[in-house]
Amino acid sequence: MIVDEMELVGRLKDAEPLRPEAFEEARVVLRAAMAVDGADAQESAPSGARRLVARNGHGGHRVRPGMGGRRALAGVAAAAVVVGGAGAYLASTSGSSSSHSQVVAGSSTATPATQTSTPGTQQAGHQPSVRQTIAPGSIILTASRIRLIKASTAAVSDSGTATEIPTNPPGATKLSRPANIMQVTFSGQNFQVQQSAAEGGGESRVVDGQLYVQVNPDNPVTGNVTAPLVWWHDTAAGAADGIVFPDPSTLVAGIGAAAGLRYVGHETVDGQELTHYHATTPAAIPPPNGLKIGGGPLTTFNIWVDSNNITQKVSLATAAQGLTVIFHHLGQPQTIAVPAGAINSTNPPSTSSTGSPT
Amino acid sequence: MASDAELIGWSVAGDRDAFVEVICRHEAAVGAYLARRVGRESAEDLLGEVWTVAFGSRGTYDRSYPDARPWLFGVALNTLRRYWRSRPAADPQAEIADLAAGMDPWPGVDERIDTEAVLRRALGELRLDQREVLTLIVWEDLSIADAARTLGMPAGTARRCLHEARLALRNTPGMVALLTEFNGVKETK
Repeated sequence: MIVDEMELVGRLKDAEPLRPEAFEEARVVLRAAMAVDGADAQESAPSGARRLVARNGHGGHRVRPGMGGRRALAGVAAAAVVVGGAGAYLASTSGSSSSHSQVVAGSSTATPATQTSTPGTQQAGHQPSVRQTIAPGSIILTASRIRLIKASTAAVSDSGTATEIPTNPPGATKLSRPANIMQVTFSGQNFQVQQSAAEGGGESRVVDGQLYVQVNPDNPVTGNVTAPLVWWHDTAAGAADGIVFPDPSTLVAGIGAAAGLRYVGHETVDGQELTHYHATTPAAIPPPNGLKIGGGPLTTFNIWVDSNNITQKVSLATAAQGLTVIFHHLGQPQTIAVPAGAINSTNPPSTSSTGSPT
Repeated sequence: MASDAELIGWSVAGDRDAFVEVICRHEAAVGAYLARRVGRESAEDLLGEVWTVAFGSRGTYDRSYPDARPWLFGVALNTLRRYWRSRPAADPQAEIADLAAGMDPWPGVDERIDTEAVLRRALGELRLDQREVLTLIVWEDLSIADAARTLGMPAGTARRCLHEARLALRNTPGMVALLTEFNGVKETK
């Protein structure tokens, strides 16, 4: 047989094949582009993601008004501290740094039992064989991919629920107290935080810029929860400033290429398959607004996104503290109401001096 | 099974999973197409951009063609042209010929293996359209008609490009030596 030029050229056909995870990553980029494009809005099936876009229009999400002048508090963490008792609240408002350590307690292994009902439940349906061969840590997100992910999350409505799990920073000795797992419900700027029973089970809310806190009128300073809690509307000017909850659509806004996000793999969180990224240079990421924790720059940052690149879980830590937030029910309408019967006062109500809450 | 054209039509109508299905059908081929031209690492980085561009332009897809692979190769080629143009001058791989339709990396590829070096040098001396027609047929197993689709040219033009490419290769000194060597060895057996 005569070898001709076509056959010779054919000998150059072999090329190093792409790694399986590269195909997966490319699909991630594609899905991000789809989200940006707003293709979901044209769909009629009632998936969570479709409802999201239908509510918000093409990729639009509610833009919060400027929040300048907020204190650099720990957002929800600060609000949660408030629930524990006015003493903790007063400490946080007296200019101390984040009081989150006061609610950081114990194990990082606690797992919320809540089932998610989140957008982005559609799967490509072609990935299981690929996922089995994913090599962790092998892909660095490029700047273009990060841009796409950021853009895609604009389609997320900032409402839903979340579970906050204080964690130990890597290498730290576990604290003896049980984890204070906080359940958060949020809608726009309004949110409410339910403390764990171990921390008294109280609740705090921010509604239309006003702070409402459940306190123990018998002992508002120590927060010893032994009596029925009463709602207190803190009417001090700016009482709710700085107490915010992060909009999951903006969580990745501070992530630049310098963060060195690496693809870790796929993980199932609350029954939902998510893609996990790990920052190799977490110090380059400013703590997300509402998730600021004390202890210096971030030493750990992990983020999990669904197939629509919507942030479903984020975990961060400094040298001193750690925090994991798992979002649920994103885009589903939530109502955060002004608590009935709240006592309006610039000071926490107390029965210690008057015999009845004032 | 739905054709690529049908799936793209559904995608335009709002069924985005339909487009993912198209991608899944052709990702290995398009990934290999990229890898043969820029290496595995860059190919992995460009693949997502190819899908993104393809998704953005799916509305212009001519659905009289049931198979989308040539179209996706065309999108990949345009992505490669942008990629080559964007390479910094200091990058050794950017030392490439500036052909009419865009930058081209062939003269700068690996020369470690003599035979490959001769082949690649010979390919590098072809015009881009000649080389693309040739490699789409030999490497990507496309027909002349599909190669023409990829490159947006009439089939007759693609046929002429292929003929010119083969003729040019045969007349390249290094290729002449190679062909003589290979066929000479064969004949002695």
